[in-house]
Amino acid sequence: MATWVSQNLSRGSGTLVWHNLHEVRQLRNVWLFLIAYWLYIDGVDTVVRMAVDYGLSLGFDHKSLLMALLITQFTGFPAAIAFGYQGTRFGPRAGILIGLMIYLVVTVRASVMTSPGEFFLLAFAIGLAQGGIQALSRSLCARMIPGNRTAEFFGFYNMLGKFAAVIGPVMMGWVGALSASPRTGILSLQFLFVAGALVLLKVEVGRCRV
Amino acid sequence: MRHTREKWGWVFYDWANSAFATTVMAGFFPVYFKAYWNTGLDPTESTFCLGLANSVASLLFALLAPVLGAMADCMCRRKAMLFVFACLGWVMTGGLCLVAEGDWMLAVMLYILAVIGFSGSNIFYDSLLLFICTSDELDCTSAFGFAFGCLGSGLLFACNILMVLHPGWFGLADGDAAVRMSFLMVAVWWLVFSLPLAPGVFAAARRDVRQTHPSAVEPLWEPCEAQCAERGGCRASGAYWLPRWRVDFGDLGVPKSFTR
Repeated sequence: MATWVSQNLSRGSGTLVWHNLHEVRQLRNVWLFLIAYWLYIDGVDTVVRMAVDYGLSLGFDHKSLLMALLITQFTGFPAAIAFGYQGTRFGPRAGILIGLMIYLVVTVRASVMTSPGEFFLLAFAIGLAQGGIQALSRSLCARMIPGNRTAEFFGFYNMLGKFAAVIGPVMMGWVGALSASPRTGILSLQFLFVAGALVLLKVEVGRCRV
Repeated sequence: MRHTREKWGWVFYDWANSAFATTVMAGFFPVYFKAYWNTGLDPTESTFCLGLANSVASLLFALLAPVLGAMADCMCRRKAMLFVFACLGWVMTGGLCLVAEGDWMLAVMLYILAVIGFSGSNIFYDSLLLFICTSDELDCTSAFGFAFGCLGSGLLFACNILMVLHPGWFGLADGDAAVRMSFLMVAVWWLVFSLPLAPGVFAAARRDVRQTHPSAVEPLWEPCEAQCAERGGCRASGAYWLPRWRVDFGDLGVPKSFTR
């Protein structure tokens, strides 16, 4: 308490209020970003998790699924680097939005998928988008958080990553059951990508540029 | 992008620990658990236990993540915390290759602890991004980390799949031995490729982020050193983070210094 009084006196209360207002405004952006991240990363993780189920139900064996996993890994390498350079030029938010658009196309394509070959094509598309979204989300988050509390805020960031794939599978099952078609269930994931993108657009990225 | 030794150390940690995510978490553990450790038991019971343990560990970790992060910030020991959790991951992943057939309980316990090690080290790994590059390099560096993680884990996983499909080529007895060998390889891979990040792990990161990010938003970017000195007293209590959160959620009236 004594330190608090002395600090306040030494700093001057005017500066202090300004300091707080500024911090709260800045942090409002961080929370907004974290909400957006939670929405779209839920969709991203749901696609990955349900892809195996979906593949199995189409009659793929485990070997083909492992192949699909490897395709995703190896397309991820050049794609993530390309997204990184793109993020430097046009800002990380633009890159994330491009990635989300790829996911919108993937969900539409998956809902009308008929031939097994298309599964590998979708694995390729997911490999393209996934790395970019995750890498640029991390760098965007790093731009916004207080520099002396990086681990704390990345703690929140990782916490949301752990709670991902919670809404998505439930929504897929629910919509799929209501419409009696698993294909509509996949389309329902678009809600997460669109909502995530809309909240992301609300984030004042310009203010956070370090 | 400038290529510093520190930056490559950071990038290679992703290369190192992604092997765990791909080979163990996504690839072999779930399948092998059902096929090998789960023999001679009611499969529904042990699968339920695995699911339950997984959920409890995830929930516990998720709730503790920001607290652990705040503690690392306060002590300026982000890198050290990374290695503490990584150690847990190495040991537990390596331990998986020793678990006997049918001993599903031990397998679940080691796996959960390894996952905690992996997820825990990731918090501090992400938080180090700001300390190893300048602002205009953030996107590229983050992307390089991710890209090399994909590549490294893809290479090791491809090798592990080959081992399982053709154990004879590698001088292994059968598929089971190949999977166990894969777990050991992941642990060693994770350990070895973490080493480039290790220099400076015992030093507190008393570096001001404003050195690397000169135009940072002023009031938020307090020098780490000053903050460490200021919060030195609360280090032991561990509960210092509780009141601070109130401010984050928009409590405008409380002076910042009061909440420390």
